[in-house]
Amino acid sequence: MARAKPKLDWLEAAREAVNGDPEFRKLGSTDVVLGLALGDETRLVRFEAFEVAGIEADVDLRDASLVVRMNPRDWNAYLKQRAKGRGKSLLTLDLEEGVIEASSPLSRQLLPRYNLTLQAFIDTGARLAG
Amino acid sequence: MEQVEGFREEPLKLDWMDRQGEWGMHATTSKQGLTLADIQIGSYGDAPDFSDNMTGRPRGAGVRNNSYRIGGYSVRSKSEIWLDNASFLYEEALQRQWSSATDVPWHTIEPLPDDIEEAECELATFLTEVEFVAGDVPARWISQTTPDYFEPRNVLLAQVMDESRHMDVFRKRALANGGGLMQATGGTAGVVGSIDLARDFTEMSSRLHISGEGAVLTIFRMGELMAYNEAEKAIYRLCAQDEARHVAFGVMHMRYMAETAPERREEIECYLDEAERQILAGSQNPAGAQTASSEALAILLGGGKDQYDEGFRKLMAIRKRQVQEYIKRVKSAGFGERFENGRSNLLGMIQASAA
Amino acid sequence: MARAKASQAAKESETGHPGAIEGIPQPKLDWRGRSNQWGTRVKPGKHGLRLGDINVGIYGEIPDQWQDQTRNPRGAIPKKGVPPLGYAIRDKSDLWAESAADLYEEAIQRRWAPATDIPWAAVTPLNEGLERAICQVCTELCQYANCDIETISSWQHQMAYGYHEVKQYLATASFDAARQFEAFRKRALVGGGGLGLEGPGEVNRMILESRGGWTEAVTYLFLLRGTFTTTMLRYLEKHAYNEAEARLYRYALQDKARHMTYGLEHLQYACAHQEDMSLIMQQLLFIGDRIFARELKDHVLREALAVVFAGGIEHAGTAGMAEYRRMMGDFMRAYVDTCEWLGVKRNPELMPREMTQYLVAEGS
Repeated sequence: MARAKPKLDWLEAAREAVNGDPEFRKLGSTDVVLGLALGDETRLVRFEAFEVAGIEADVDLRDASLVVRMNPRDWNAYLKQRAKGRGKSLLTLDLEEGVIEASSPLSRQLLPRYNLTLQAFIDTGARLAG
Repeated sequence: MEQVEGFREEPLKLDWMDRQGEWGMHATTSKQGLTLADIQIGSYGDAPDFSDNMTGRPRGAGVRNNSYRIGGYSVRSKSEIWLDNASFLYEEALQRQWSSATDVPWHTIEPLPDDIEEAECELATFLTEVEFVAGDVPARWISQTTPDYFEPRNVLLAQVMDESRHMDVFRKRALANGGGLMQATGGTAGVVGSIDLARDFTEMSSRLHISGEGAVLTIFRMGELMAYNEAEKAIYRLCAQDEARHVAFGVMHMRYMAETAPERREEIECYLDEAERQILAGSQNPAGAQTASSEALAILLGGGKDQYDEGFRKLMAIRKRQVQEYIKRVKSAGFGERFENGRSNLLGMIQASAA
Repeated sequence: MARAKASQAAKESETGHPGAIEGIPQPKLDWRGRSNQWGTRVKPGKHGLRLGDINVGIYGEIPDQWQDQTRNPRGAIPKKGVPPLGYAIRDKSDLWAESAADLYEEAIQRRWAPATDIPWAAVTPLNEGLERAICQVCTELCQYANCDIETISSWQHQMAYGYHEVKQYLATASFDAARQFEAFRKRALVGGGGLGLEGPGEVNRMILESRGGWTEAVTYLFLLRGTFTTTMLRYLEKHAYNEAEARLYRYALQDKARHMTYGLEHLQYACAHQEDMSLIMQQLLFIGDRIFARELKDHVLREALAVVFAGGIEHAGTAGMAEYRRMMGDFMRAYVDTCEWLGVKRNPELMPREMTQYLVAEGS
């Protein structure tokens, strides 16, 4: 069976969407570099102030303060659930599956600190990913 | 132990379910959402006249006889701190929070003449200093207040938050336009008669809210007269909005105290006597006589040091307004008689200046 | 605009120099030209104009000790002869966290109002056992928030103004606690229930009785109690029964994570700058663990959480308790790991059994 590829083509579109969304801005300033480690693919999503400042592909994830590590099949299934308005929050997913890595107890606080923003970004992307 | 669904079963007592507070509460939202006022239902809305809550439990919670006593609360009588619209002021404070980083249009500040910029920075230095008092002192009283009176306590917590923002916004103004912090005034020193050294909450509130913050509120409301750009107008407008709530706290608390503890009227009159001695002369009033901040204000109001006299005349008008607004506040608080029975000579001072 | 205003005022003025009009006192203007650093111009960036952004030149020099016991703003020229106010906390290592200024700004940016940001209409009737359990948990969280308020407020005013960033951040932290106090109270009163039984209070008293200094209070308030509360909130978020609860727990987590960030950074700074701080913390936690363990023996919160996790009384003793044990395992691992990260050695053999039992693998 062919290995699943993670759905990531929505990242730039989601970035544009949230950067133009006043509701996203209202969530407050966010300063975190989120790494996505999904099978063989990696991405860095840089959140700075009130927007997503940049997205980088095929990068070393050492720059990331938090890393979401999932196999592509589970990642795609998660996006699908979130697109339908269902599915666990990132907080619960991490609680149950340990999908978020942080380098220290201090970095670990970044997930709850920015949970609303990170979730909003992923949910926007999930809807765009269809 | 019985295995149920693969888990070891633990027996539960669940006796606490019979020891909870009043049950069956269905608070409903109003036009303003679900406010503190909306949850003052059943016995949960009854703030006792005297609190014997020494364990820090939320008002209305079930009582444990063996709970540890944590409260060295010195504020345990309702009349000492209560005000009828505390819930309203708190909810308004929540809704009207603002960010000095992003809600002030800093980009509208452009270089000003040296004398104006110096005056801006001296005034900003003073206002930063004065807001320190207003942040520190309520914090001390918050920790002394029983949670049975959480409504006024929450308003004070909002005030500490507001004052923190004021400290920050004036410091930012001083450093945003080619200036810097200047000479501190020492006007908030902890000497006898100062806000710091009050031994009673109402005493502190009369000095802080009615007198001190009242005087500052008048200045903020006059912000249009001394602002040189949209950023400064926004600063004064937003600060005035916050300060108005703090002053309202003081007035409404004093009113409640007057109505419920008439035996303390004379004591409060003494606090007001002291406030009136300070209001024009005291160094905590930015428009007070011959202080660095009042000179800075005069320069800003006049449009420069060469127009000092014009600025001074406007400053005098502001001082008169401070007194008028103070009088209105005190009347609203239920102590208007002092202006008619000769106890206070503030009205006479205003009439003399008009003559 | 400034020049137009000045020009207009000049036309209206009768004279050209101050004090020339009778009755207008001659200004001293002795404050003019007095600044430790003039010419400071900080422009707003992507985040706006933040508190940390204005820490330039001398305004950003944060000394290891602040001897000034007045309300002199850092960087201003102090006025001589001002009586001291008696600020007890004047050493940087007793309160500092590098991110305090940023956390202050973030707290304001990420503000929320329980009255309007929680969709309270989403709270629909639950079975009575579950409602009682949720109300019990909310009551205890309310009491924890009260402890936060009293602790922070009692220390904040004792901190010198040389470290205004920390004072300002703590103002937001106590405001967060006020918001949580009212939000959990609201949840208890909106769904047909009421407040629960008060907590035992021993840990609250321990936190409030931290006489050794703010660092001691932070150790108990954030490292011990804070780790427990945030773990509990994570599990409550997972077991939220409606969008109102989910939103409430997520907002609360957002606030508490900032508290934890300040707390951990401060403890990290204190350990790095005070020779025996990690040993002191070891002692504090030795004592604190015992008090915490005594409180864990109290069945009320444990049972209430089990009922919440199980969705009612029926499976609370089995599935509910199993989830409670997982929660406690997560708490203990986070707590011990954080201590290790701070360089505070913990020996599980010297820790109370009521706590270490959760470090044993599940199912054994």
